[in-house]
Amino acid sequence: MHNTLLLADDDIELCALLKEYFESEGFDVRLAHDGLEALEELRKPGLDLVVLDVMMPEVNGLDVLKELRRDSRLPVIMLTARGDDMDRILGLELGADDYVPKPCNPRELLARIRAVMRRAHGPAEHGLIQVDDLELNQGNRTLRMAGEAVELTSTEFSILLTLLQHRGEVVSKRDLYMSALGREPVPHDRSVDMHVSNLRRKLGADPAGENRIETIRGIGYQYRVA
Amino acid sequence: MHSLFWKLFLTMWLSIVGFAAAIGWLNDTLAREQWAEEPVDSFERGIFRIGQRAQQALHMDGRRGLRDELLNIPRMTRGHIYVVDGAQREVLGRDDALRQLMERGTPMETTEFQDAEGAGFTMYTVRRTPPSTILAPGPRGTALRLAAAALISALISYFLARSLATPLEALRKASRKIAAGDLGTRVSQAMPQRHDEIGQLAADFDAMAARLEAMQIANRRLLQDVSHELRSPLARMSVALEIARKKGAGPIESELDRIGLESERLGTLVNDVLGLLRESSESGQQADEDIDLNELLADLVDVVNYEVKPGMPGIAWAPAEPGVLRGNRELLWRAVENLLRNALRHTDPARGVRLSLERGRRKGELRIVVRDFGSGVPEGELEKIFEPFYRVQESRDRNSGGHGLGLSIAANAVRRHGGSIRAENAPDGGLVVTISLPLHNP
Repeated sequence: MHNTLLLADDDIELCALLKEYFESEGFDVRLAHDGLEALEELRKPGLDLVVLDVMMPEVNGLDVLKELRRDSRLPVIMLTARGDDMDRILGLELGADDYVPKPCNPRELLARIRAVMRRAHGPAEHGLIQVDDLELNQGNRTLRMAGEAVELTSTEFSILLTLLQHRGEVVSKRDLYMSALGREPVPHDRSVDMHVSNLRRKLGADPAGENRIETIRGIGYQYRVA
Repeated sequence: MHSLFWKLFLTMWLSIVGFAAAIGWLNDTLAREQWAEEPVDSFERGIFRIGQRAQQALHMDGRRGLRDELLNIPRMTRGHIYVVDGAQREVLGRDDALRQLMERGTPMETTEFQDAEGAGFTMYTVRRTPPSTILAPGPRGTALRLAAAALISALISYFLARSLATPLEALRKASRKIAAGDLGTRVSQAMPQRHDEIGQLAADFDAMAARLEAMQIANRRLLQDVSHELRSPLARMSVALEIARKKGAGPIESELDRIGLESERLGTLVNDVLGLLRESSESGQQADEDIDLNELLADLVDVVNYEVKPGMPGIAWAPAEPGVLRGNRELLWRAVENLLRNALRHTDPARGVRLSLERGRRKGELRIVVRDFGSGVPEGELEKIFEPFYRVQESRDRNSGGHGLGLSIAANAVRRHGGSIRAENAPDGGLVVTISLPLHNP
């Protein structure tokens, strides 16, 4: 079965080349050249992942992402101008799964796409993990907190899963990168930190009123044992 | 305060006070001499003669003649002669003035005389009084006059000196700022009311600064546009390259690798140029936050050490001096990161790089020190390594990677935080780069 990508970037020639490249790697590729087209394509079913350029005419990538995240957990990889930290941080805060700085090496983009997809659509492990008031369903990758459903992006889910599987132990940032994003951290990379901060925001304090995820400076993160 | 101000102020003030003192002294001396020359009797004699003429007038023309005679006396002298009739009325109606004189106990001489009909009149003559106390000659008067002169002239001198020295000081500060690269500096708004030569100088200065700024902006814009435009073809090139590889490169594989490597280098260069431009122009607009330097450095060492080959020491860092700073986290991060990467590139891999946070020599100053164990930098080039695209010759020959932007990006970020950056060769080899940061940003 072919996975279907939506590639939203205003550089038409680049899109055509990337389409050829990804198709040769076995993907189906749809294209959008501005934010409105992207939103339109996103309404159609059948997408497995979106590659979203931040700088797009009409509606920029961040706004497209914000719109998408209202009701969808579709994996998103942002293309950001390198060095533009605000775009990157904002993108991750708005729920992008990963980002690739532009101009990107297509092999690297492909690797990230595969990594994110493997986690989102990979063979589902089964079973529930229950910790405090959290209930993680690995089958459909959903989270219930005190019985209420909490919307998590696929990457946030992976990070929480890893932390809960190693509850009470410190998980290094590198391990979190590997397990949630399927890659090593790169220079200037704060993706995992951003995902953790999103998780903290969504989960709030634990029943005892404490911070659920503790930062262990210089090492990584730890899910608190009550 | 500034020395020009004091020079102007003291010169003007002292010359005015000196002038006043000299005038005062001359005046004093002359007045004394004049007083001495005019004997008391001559005035008395004059009064006496006037009195006699008044009596004659009374005899000849009666009361009316007396009045005319009195009115003929010059005003100043008239105040010294009063004539009272039998009904105790002053003939010119100056009863009040006379009464005041009497109440004050002014010494007066009286002369009784009669008119043709035998009615009695009394003439009061007032002696000449010496000049009044305040204006009197003598040490006290002189001191008072001098003090008044000193006070008034001090005020005038102060304002004049200030009006000359302050704008010059403002101009000096502005030219320093321009020299330090802040081309947005203007001076004329500090002296809006001035249309004299200094005001014109300020306006010309501003015109010069505006021209410099416009040129710099145009240069940046060009560099930015070119860099920006280069990115799209580079991105397309790298995708085309991958497609070419997939189509089966075969014998040209190594050439394709080379093309890939070079286009990647070009991409990094373009990005660094854009980063440098962005940091030096837009960074001022980003909000500041409180940054725990220990935390920042610990995280940074963590990230950079990921890339060190296993088994090598990498960056050695021990948390030290606590320090929280207000500033832009990303900029500081990038600044120190560039120093660390640069140091790692040039150090002896077996000895790694040392990073430390120390208390500065001045109060409220922290220093971030990065030391490597490489071959250092020739003494003459220590300053230049912070200039964009500057590379030490040896590093050009070796093509050690990088294109001479890392250190200037670092220097920009440090300057943005009101700090300074300095490089020196360690006595036992290797380069020491020190960032000094004020804890309280001005």
